[in-house]
Amino acid sequence: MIDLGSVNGRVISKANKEGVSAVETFSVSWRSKSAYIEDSMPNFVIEDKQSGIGVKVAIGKKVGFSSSSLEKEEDALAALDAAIKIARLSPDDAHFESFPPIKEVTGSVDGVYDGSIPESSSADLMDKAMIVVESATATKDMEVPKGMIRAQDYEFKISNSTGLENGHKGTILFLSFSSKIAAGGNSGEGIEKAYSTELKGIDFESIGEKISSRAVNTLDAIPFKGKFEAPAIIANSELGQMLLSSLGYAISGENVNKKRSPWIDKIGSKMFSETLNIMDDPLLPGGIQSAPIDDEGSPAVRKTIVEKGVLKRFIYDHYNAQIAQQEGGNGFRRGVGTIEKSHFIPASCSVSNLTIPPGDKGLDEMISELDKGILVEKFAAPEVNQFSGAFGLEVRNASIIEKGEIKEYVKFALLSGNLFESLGKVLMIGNDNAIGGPWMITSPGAAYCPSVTFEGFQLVGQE
Amino acid sequence: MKLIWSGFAILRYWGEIPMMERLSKSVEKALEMGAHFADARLENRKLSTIFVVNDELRSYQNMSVRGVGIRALVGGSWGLSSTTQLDADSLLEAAEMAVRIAKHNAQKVEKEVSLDSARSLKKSLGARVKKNPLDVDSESKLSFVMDLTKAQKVDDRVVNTNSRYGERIYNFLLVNSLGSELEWEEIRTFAFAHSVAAEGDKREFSYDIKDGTKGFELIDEIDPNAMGEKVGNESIELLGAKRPPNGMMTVVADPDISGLLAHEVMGHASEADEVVKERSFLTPMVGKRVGSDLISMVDDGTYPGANGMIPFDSEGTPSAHTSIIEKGVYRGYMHNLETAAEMGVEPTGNGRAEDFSRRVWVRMTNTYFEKGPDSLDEMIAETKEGILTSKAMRGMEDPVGGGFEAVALKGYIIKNGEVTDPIPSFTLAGSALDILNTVDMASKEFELSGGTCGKGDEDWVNVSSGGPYIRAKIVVGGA
Repeated sequence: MIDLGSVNGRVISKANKEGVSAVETFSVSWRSKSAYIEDSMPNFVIEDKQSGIGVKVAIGKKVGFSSSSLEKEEDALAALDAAIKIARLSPDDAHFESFPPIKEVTGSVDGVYDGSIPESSSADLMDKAMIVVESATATKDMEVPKGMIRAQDYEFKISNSTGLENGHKGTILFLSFSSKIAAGGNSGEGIEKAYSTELKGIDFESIGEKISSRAVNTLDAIPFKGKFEAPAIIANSELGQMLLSSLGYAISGENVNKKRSPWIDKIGSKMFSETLNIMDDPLLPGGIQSAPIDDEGSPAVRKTIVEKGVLKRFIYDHYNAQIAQQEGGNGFRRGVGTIEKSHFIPASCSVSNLTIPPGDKGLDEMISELDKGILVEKFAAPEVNQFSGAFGLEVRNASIIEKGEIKEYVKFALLSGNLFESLGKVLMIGNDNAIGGPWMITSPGAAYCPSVTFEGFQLVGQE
Repeated sequence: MKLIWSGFAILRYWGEIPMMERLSKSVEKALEMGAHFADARLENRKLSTIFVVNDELRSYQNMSVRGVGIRALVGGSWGLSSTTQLDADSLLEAAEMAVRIAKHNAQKVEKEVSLDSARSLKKSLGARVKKNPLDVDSESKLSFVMDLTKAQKVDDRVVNTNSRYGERIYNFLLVNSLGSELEWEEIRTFAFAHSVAAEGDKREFSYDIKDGTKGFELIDEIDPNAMGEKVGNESIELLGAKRPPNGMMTVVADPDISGLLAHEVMGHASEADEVVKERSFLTPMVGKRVGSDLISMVDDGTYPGANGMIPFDSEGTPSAHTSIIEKGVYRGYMHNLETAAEMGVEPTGNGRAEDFSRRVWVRMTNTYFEKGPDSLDEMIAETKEGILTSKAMRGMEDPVGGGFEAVALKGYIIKNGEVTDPIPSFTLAGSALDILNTVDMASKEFELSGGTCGKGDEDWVNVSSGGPYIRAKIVVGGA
């Protein structure tokens, strides 16, 4: 593969000769292998090798960006020329000052590069996929209509004209499977997604068991009718996605600076339950977004976002940190489920790994403590209104709890409520932390949350 | 109209050996290695966007993506090898890899797939646009985005304005083992406006987007002042919106929402790759009633100017007009080469891949319900109590369960035949067949909205969806 450090060096050197005020170059190479299952059988395999570069230049306060696939060094120089041309055409960006300066990188992080991933072939991945299939189809009449596993190993290097030269090597494993069972004219589906930086981070057999049991539960589900108000347990991965789409937006320094955030003047305010603490942790061992640096080359640092229910701070990439005179370190481009496309756009403000420390209750214990309640294991799409916290989400795997036990599984229903208000009505925090990814796997920002029991939600069905 | 050929020269002569020859040799190599079918597709994608926030340029950027994907079919097993290295040796290496990885699984796959009866085609098609965006100077593009942003600031309560211009110019070369040799171009442009209004602790937003397979004439047709003002005013209107009601309601769904119902549920479940593995709730439904007489639905990749219009799909099949539902009766599916061969029908030009490194799935193009006999005014006048939706934020597919979920940006309460108070974002859900069977009015007014569509978690392709206003019973939920 192309030497990324050398490519960056040539771009910086040429940019200096062209007389630009500042330049930043992010180059990346990756190898990707994917294995697809259809009809419980191997179906499609992909092996992909790519490199790319994104170049950002400033001429005074005029800024331009261009990216390109990287076949040879000339592509990088062409991207530089295009970025310079754009900068010359652009009006001033009054807020642009500089690219990130050299800072000592003190943090270290374990478990973000698994050497067995580059050594694995697509055939090895297919073997793993078939473990999921065999585990799921151990249940009579269960099928796995589709599933996929993708493993990537990547390296990126970031350089800029302040002399900063940093880089990172990582691995990403992403999988998505669905199972199906049909009986008596009905069918049930079980879906599961998983992310890891290591092959050993995913228990393929248990993924199969999970999609199988979800499909059986959905098959048994009855269309929910009427309305039901009760405490609701939101499963870990779903809560993570809900938080990323709402809290992740509200604490973004870019959204604060642009007055889009609903929490502009809320630093220091008691927003949530006393029991709630939320961190942004780019050094989380094995975290999908973990690295000693962010994607601008700034040192990655753990940050407390919410402490005992009080909003403590926002997060910033370098550009927005300069405007707000805050600390940066949250400029990202790496997607949670794939490194592809990371060079397409400049780094922007994003959470790294949003974490809620685990509580002391297992999921079964939380269920057993509810006289009446709702358990949601899967939504169709766990997105929350970023301004108000309101949501109405179709449940795909959900059940009604009565007297500490699951009474029945339900479908064709919406759970509605307001997440921001309910974060102030936390009843129980589970001890089962798991990852939730963003809406698009090419977007940065993950959440590692436990399942949580909230007050204030309503299940709404047909009629 | 004129034909634009902006990218072909580069593609044809990239390097010393003509690219078509390199692709042909890689396909030949795959056949020599034992593939029963092979194709090689080169893509050159150029994108440019201008993004202005609060009257200031936030980014002006372009992107160039270039690579080749080579597919090989051995028995019923597929291999795809993709690379950004375009020299002849790298392509031959990729062809070998594609066959090798397909062969590895071939013995484990019980079914055999034969594409021998598919047709071959030799053709070269440029994008049919009036004004190539590459011929328009950057100042004009910047000026449009700046005007769009300024117009949104209708009031001090509009605290944030966002405007974006984009152009996408895609060029393709495709060679396959059936003898096809194709080159084609797709050009798309878009304009996007998004305002955030605030009052006290309350924040609301609105947006508008115009897109399509058009050149800069799409931008010329937009009045940026009118578009910007409308979006700014809509965001302010929502500051006074009341909480949406919850429960089963009579809903007059606008073309955005009716389009999502067509696309997300009936469309995804009509993709034949979901049908052949019996993952679709519509698998046994051909010839059966799935909706009221007012419901007819098509997928049409030939729809002029629509965002999902494509001359060929990613396998080189010409796009087509495919009937899915006719007067409430389910007619059939969309196909790629493989599902068409498996079901013994003609492919419909729906085999699409996000790019050269991704697999081909059966995907929609422009999917919509056909217009009905009523007017929107009549529909509102004849609704005693209900909700009128306005614009969509997102939808989610459920091909297995047939469940519908869509989030509307906003809506209005209908009371005694009149549109009254606005309501902010809310969700619509329920069983798609239950909803379609309750459709009792459909409008003459018809619109398509563009966007991109993913299958599962990824594989995004350009599409559009839409239809008339339809009146139906739907579960509404919000907070």
